[in-house]
Amino acid sequence: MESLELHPRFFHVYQDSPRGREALMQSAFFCRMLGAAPVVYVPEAPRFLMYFENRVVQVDLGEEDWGRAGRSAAAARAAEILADVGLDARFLEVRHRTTPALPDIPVDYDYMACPVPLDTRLWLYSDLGMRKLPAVAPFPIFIPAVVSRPWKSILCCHGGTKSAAAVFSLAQNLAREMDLPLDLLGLGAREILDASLQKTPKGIRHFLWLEKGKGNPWMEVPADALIVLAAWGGSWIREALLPSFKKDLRRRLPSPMLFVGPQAAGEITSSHG
Amino acid sequence: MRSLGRWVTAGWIGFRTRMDPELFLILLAIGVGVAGGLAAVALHHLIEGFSSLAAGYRKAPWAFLLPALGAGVSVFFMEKIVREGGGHGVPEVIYAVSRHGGLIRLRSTFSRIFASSMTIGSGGSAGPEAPVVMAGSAIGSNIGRFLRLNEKERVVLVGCGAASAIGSIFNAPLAGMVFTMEVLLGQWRSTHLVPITLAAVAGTEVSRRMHGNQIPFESQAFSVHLHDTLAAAGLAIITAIVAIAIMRGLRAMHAFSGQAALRMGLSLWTKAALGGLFVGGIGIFFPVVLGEGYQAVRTMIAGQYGTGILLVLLALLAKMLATSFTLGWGGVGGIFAPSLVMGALAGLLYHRILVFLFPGVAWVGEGCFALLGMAGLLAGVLQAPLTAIFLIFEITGGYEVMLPLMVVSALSTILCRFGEPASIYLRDLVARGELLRPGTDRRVLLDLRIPEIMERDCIPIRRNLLLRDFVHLQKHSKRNYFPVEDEATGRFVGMVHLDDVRPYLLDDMLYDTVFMEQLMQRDVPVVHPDDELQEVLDIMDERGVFSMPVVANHRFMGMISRATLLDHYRRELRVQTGEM
Repeated sequence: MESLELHPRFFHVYQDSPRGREALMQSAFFCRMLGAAPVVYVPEAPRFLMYFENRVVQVDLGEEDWGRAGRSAAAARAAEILADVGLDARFLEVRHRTTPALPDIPVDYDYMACPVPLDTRLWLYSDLGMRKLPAVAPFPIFIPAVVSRPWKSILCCHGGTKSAAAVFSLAQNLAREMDLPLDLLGLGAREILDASLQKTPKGIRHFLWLEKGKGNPWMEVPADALIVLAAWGGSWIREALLPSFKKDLRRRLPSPMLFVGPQAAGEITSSHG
Repeated sequence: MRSLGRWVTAGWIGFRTRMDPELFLILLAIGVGVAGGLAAVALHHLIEGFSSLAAGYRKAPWAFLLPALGAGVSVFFMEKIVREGGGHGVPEVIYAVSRHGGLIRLRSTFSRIFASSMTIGSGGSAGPEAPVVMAGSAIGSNIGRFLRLNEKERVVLVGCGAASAIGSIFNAPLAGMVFTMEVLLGQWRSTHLVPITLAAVAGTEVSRRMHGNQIPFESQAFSVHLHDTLAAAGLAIITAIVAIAIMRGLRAMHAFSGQAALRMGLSLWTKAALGGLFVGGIGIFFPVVLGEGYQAVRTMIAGQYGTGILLVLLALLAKMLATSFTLGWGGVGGIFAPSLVMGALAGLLYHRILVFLFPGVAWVGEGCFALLGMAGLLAGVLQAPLTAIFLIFEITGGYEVMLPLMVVSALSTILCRFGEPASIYLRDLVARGELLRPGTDRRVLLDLRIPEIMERDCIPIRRNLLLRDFVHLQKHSKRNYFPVEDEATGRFVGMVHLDDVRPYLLDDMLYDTVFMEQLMQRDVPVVHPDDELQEVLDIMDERGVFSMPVVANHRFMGMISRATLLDHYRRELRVQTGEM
């Protein structure tokens, strides 16, 4: 018997800049591979709000990244990029505003591409959107790479925790839906990961291990992979000052990433029973 | 360390489960009240600090630049440092309460306190009340968020923050409580009343501990007669006219400044600085327009303001203009304090005209009419007569003016509605259709999104599916409709309803000759997951259908039906009206 195949919805904030176009190309590729429906927002103001269940998040865009120069031209460019991969552009019309200059963006999507501000004050607002959004969003957050390049595999980072198991489950689904090989990057002690996975899951192409003082596995990580990992969104100070695996990963690898926050992991766990 | 964390979490969960929810909320309300009171005290000190800093340069030839400097720096702070945008913030609180269960950004707990103190301290014609309401509300909201309270409890804490802030800054707990219920929440509920009252008391007590129990505008004992009370009705006309003029003037100035900034390519902070420059220029001739203006109000209530009708009229016009230049050009601050000053001037003007016209009548002192003018204008601008009555009653400590106070507040509110149907805080929200109080039809429909009420248990079929296969397949479906998808592209092409198939079911000969493509309806109205339910219902009414397919990017996602919508509607309505 045929069953209803649910098509996920992917939300993308289009920044009409060279980097923004690269980001949309990656989102378009993601949608095409997954059969997702893209919803594109061409910003009309330098910031917008997203009201989640228990928190409101303000997303700030760089000064040059919003459609001050002309939203219709930006929308036309975005539609062209989507049409190149056979997708129809659906543009989000803002219906509600907290203040006239502060649009509210709906939050009922399945994925969202996080806008990356190219701002001179990045040292202060380092990864701000990437910190807050994964922490509260009930969907995974896609962080595009600087340059668009189709990925040829999925790499899942697994630290052996319960939430990492949800991330692994998502990565498995993505690999199956996108028909791509799945690699696993184990973090920390191998025994913990083995205990978490219990038995070797099927369909894993490569196992890689990242343990302190034990070799350099970074060279083995495929450069053309979509990296799926858990991201909890630490506190502002911790995120800005302390080192983290997420930062290390972003510094070392040029790949696009999919951050799965606690709410998104919870959704995945509950939907998988 | 980890075990300590677990112990604390377990203790907290135990405390929450054993504690009575109402008592817990009351304890939180007192905590929020103290925090809101401290925010108000901090704002008070900051304004005093910036004022005394600016006072050192008041005699300098360039002193008229001070309001420009303050407004520019404060908007720069709001735009570039905390990235919050300007405005006084009260509409944002009302919007958060009515639409999003009181969720307010964390940065709002401090941003407007700093920004408004710079604007007001440097001489901008604005008030500290709206910014402190925003700060208090944000404190309540974020405490509620941190403790993972539900929407209703969080809204109560937002109200507690606002009530404590107003109570603290004016030393007027009753006014704080009434303002919150009348203006912010827009509803009087006994469940809200107790925590908000206690928060207002806590905030006021904090202020009294730190500043002493002072009445902001000490008034003498006025001997009010019947003719004074009757004359208050005339004053209501004046204050209503002034209130309408202020609201329209602000709106016009806002539009004009926006266009001017666009033409001149001004940033928001340079625009605010330009507005401040005009205020500084006006302040050279009328120093009464600078700052919050409470000292001038004290002089007026004491009956010691300069003589002459023309002087008062000019001062009133100058204050209106200065307020429009400050707030209409993007400065950070509220309309509350300027309304009190303009109201006092309007009352004074009215009294002097009365004395001029009827010199033989023994009118009460002009300070009394200054008080009445304050109440009348505040009632008109906020369209909140109770707030005006209680505020003036509390901040002047005089009961004898109560009767004319009630007359002028009530009439001014009514008269003002003829010119401006919504208050200064609500008019933008009303114009944008965003004032959606919980439990209203539009709010319930807006809170339901198509993806969450979509029926997903539909079985899609292919175009080339034979009737025989369909007859077998439909046994497994609970639904009467089947989306048809193109087998090659997966695109949605139409719908098959069981009614469409029924005429062919009795003829076995057709089972292997009829394809579903031949029976499907092609011109089916569809909706997108981002559409709003009000639009969907309109289409259903127009087309006379009971269900519609949800389609995104040519892919079928589910069905939406009136029956499911009604179930969700009732559930949401019960949540919003607290019937659960």
